[in-house]
Amino acid sequence: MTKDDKVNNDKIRNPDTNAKSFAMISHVSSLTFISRAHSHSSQPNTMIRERSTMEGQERDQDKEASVSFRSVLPHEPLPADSSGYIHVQGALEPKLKKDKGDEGKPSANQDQADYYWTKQGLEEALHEALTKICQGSALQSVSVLEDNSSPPYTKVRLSYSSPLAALKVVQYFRAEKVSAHDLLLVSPNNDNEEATMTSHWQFAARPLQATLLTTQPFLSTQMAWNRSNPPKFRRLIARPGEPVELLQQERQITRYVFLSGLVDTTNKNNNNPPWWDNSRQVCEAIRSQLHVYDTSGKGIELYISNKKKTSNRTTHFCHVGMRSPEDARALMAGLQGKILTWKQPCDWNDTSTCTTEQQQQQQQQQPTIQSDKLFLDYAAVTKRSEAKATAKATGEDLVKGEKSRSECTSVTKHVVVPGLVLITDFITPQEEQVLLAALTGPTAPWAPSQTNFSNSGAVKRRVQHYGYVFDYETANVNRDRSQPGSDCPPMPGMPPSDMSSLEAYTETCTAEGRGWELMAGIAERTRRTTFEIQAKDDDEEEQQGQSTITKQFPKLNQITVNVYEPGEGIGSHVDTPSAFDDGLISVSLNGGVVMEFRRQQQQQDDEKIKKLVYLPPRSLLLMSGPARFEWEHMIVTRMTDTHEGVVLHRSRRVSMTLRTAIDLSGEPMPCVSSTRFPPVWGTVGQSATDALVTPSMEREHVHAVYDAIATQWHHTRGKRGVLWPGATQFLKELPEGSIVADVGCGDGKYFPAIWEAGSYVIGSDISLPLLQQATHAHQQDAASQPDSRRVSEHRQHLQKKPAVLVADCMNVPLRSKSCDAAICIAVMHHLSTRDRRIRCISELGRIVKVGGLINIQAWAMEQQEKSKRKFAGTDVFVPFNAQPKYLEAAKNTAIATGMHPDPGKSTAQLYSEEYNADYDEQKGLVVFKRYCHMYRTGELEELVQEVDTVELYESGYESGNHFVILRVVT
Amino acid sequence: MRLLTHNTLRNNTADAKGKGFPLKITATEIRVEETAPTMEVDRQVAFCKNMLSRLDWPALVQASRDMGIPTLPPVLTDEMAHDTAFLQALYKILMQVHLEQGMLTCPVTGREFPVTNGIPNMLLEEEECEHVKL
Repeated sequence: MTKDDKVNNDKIRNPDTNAKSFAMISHVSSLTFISRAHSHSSQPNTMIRERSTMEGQERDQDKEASVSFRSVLPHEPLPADSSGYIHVQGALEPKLKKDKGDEGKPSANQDQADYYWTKQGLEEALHEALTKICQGSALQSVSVLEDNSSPPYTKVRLSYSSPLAALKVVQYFRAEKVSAHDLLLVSPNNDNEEATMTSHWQFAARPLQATLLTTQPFLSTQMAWNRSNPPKFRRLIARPGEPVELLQQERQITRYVFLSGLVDTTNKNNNNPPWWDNSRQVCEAIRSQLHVYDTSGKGIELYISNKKKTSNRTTHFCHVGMRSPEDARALMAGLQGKILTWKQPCDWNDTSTCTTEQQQQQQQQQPTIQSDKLFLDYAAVTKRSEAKATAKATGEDLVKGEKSRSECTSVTKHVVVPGLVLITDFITPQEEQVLLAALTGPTAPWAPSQTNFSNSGAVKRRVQHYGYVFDYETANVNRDRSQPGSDCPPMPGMPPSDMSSLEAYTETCTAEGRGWELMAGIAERTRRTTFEIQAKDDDEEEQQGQSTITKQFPKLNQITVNVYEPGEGIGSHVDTPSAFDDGLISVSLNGGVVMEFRRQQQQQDDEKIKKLVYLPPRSLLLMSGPARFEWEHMIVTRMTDTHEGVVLHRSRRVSMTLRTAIDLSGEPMPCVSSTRFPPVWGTVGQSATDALVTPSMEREHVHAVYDAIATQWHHTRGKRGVLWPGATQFLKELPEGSIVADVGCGDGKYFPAIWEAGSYVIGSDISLPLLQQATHAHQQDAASQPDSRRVSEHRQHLQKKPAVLVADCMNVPLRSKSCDAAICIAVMHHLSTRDRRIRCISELGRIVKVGGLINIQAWAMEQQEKSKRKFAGTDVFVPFNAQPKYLEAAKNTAIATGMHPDPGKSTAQLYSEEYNADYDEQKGLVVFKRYCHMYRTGELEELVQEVDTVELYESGYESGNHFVILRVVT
Repeated sequence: MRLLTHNTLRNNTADAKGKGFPLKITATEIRVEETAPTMEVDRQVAFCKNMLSRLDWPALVQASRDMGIPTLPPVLTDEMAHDTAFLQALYKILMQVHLEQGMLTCPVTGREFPVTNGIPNMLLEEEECEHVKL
């Protein structure tokens, strides 16, 4: 609050005015300490006499006891009290001067001090001093506030005839930095005798603090109030005594409008009158003009930036808080583009108090202020400001993050960027989901991070290139794909047979969740789109026929996928003209963003011309001609955008940029495309050709995850014993006494079903922690149900020691034809390549005897309506929310076995770092990402075709899963 | 790990060329179930009879010898296959003798697989696997 006070009041300082309106500082210094000490007897003063009588004091005390004072908040208008009150605080007490001769006899002075610095004595002294300072101002009373009767006294309340009078005294105190020294020091020249006595005393030179008080209760909504801050410091915390509901209500209904152009800056000779420097007066002046728009009668909030204080600028803009959206709208409509004249509020010409005649004249001469064409826009509180306010309240340090800048696209509506075309809803929401799943999913070919040419820092965004690599370091496209660093997946291509029916193709891809195929379709759709481009200048081209031209970009041969997390942006740039042809196309997915366009070569007359374009999700933006070559585009790094006055919080935006790479002669490069999906490139592609080499995707997002979550997995899944019914049925029908291999048995949730069927199961899994859960759990079951009739003796015997082994399903360590049957449930969807899926089936076929059956189940792309799971693509990360309590145990075992070097890390930290998991702070969960491949209808059957040793016996779909039952033929 | 489980295990490394069977047992800790199973004798016999056709008999004989049970006959005769007492004893060997700690060794390559707490670790390094290109 003190900071704000200064803003308001430092501006008041005007030596001339002060000299006239208030007593000169020399008056003060002529006052003597001693004379004041005796004044109650020597200098008759009715006020003081009245105050000094017991009667009067009692009355005052009674009055004061019933009234509570509070300081006037800086944004509040003058209180409507009948009197004005001031609180003066500071070191009012003198200190004994340490003169050489005094050291021996301080007691005599001390006695005198006790006499002079009684409450009453001080009150009288102050009264006299202040009356002299503000000649003619009606100082009504002075009262020392300390309860204890002994000095030192540090708080005094003054009472004046009106709040305005009081305010002026406060401003004087602040402007002149009045100290106790100024007020109370004895002038040595005044009286010799007294001077010798007073010379023992020393007064503090530090300024006294003066605060305007009011007896009014805290602000009501009725009161129009302004403050010296823009709305980013808008009140987020209730004042003491104010109900939070009221604040919330107020916040909800209040709409903010940014009002700029308060002062006509074009007229350079126009010097603003001094009163314009006073925020309070400016507020009053503006409010008096705007009050007609306040239909609610609840007053208008006004905020004036306090930044001008440091930069010494006048007030050019402010924020207006209207009490209803309708009022705000009316204000916008009513004032947009208007020119107003601000008049000094008449209160300030009030001559009843301290002002002299000269000053009156001066004030009447104060010119009014002509505004520029007013510009209004909706404003809102930024996230950072909210955080700041909260941090302020709780005393925390604010985390640096978002810049508070937020602009509105409607501001630049009149600016036309020639060659810019925005097509909204270029893709459907369904297509968007499928594309996103592919582009951000497990099979996305993320390029290694590159250095940026312009600022030589690393490109922070995640980037994927298709067709040709764009090298950020050289800001050029790598035309030779065989060069190191130029390797990237080819453009997703469409099968030629589908080219004739593009729409049918994209529909099928969307329905089946084929993201990569769909991407090829979208690229083709873009190539076929005919863009209608506005010709260069609308105004000059009067003939309608020539105002638009049409263009197509059939040679698009490069795609760049960027992921912008909220708060990320891209610097202002023009895409390298020698690298890419005309026609840059950007498709936004998932999140919208405001893109900023600036003329590259700014001309003198159109200084700082820029255009803000909001790119909604699923839209396509084309930059061609001038928009592509002459205008720079950028995305500002911030968390929010303001679009048409509405503040939009950014969410992760995935942009697909389609461009035409050109060779050195300027001809489009050949389009390198492939219909092989998911896109294969670089070392990833090579290693994927050998089925037995575990891809890092499976290591990190399957094996590691299950190891980490084994405990919770068992407690929340396996323990409940929810089995896939088809598998149970399959196991029941097996002949008694079979040897069944459970490949990928996990925590062995199918074991009991096999034992109950009188068979022997050998379970294998790659995750030892899961197997340990299996043995441990079944041992416990065995111990806890010794006499249960429902459990067969065979099972009772076997569950004490289930047969499990650590093994990879790519290499089942069982001799060929050793098993009667095999099950492989919920395993195949964790295999990331087609080759590995085929290998898994052939291993199952090898270990089972001829004629034996194999049951394979895996997640289906097609989930049921009521299922909580929905998969947008075939290859996705399925989150597993792990509770730290389960992880803790896993961590301890891991540390015990020497797996983790750093036991000092917190569990969440450890897992999020080492397992590439996310940590959800709010819920306190570690979110693991499990790689899953969702099988489309017929996909399992098609894989089975590839394995000679088995034949399809049965296949189908059951509660979100596809299953096949195979019979071994050789 | 029961001997019945062991009877199915093989070493799958590329070097073993599919012949990594039977794995030699080096036992450090063996646990024999003392209490007789609550299962009826008839059912034990039936279970074993059923298993006979699936067992690799020489491998079982070898493994039981490694586990310190030298009593199994080297050749399984039809007579034995119908002998209730023999089958009941076989049930004990197959189902009630556990290798808790120890080592399994491939007869072809000498590759060793550790058995810890009754769980054999049959995982292979990628270099050991056969080269599979489909």
